Amino acid sequence: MSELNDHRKQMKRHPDVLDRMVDGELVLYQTTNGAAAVLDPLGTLIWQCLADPASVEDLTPDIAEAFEISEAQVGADLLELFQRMATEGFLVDAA
Amino acid sequence: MTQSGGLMAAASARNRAFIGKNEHDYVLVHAGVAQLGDATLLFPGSPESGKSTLVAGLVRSGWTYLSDELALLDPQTGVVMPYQRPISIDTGAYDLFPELRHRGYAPSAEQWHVDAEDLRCGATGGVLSAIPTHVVFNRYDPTSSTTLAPLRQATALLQLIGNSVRLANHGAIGFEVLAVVAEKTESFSLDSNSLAEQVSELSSLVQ
Repeated sequence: MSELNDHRKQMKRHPDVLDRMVDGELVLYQTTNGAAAVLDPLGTLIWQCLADPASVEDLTPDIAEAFEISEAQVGADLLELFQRMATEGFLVDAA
Repeated sequence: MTQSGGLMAAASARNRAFIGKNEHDYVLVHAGVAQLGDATLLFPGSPESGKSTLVAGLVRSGWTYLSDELALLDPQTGVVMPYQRPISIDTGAYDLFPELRHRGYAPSAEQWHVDAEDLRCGATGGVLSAIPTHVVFNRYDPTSSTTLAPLRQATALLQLIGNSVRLANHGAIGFEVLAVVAEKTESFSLDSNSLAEQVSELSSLVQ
């Protein structure tokens, strides 16, 4: 299980993850461990932003502005999302 | 067994050889498959989900039998191929098919492996391949009334992935095949405590 507690840690998409839009919803499939997930709009935006490596800190200002939520709240939500996606094998450490 | 049992046995042997030789060529999903008219339904589910019992009930009522266990999806065309092995009926469902006892299926057996032709003469005939039109995730729930509810395509895709067999071997193509199935079909969940109501609901759906 991946540990992720640092807002500055650069993460990237796992190279074994396939993604596809299906009727407006983004579905991920991890070919190595078989995990699959449907992302909500925030998750979809994050996934698109992670076309290049990024950290929670990198993404927080733009996401907070887009969703009109405080940066503190967005930062906490993003960290939780990153942790979940790393645990499922969708994200890996970019280092 | 009926006279057609020999034909069924031959078909099963052919299917086994077919699977053994070409298994890697198909995207496999744990699913029953049955056809009525132009409608071909996939019933993805785990071994204990009741898909074999449902398929047997459909076949008895006039549907054509394609599979009770695996949907073989051609990655090039998306069509599903027949895989007509004997239908496995568990002891808990024997009473739903009392007519089979008169055809030699013993009540004391641990499981019935039912020749689909024993359910209805002509049940296995004539289908070489079919385009899936509906995906139904059925669940036997003794406390539930019969409820057929539409599913989002993304949800259907997740469940297809969850019921797939060695999907990763096909890489992006396998994922794409299941995504296209989710997009091109209507998907439903079907909760029920009654085989008769399931059959009636599904027959109404496609007619």
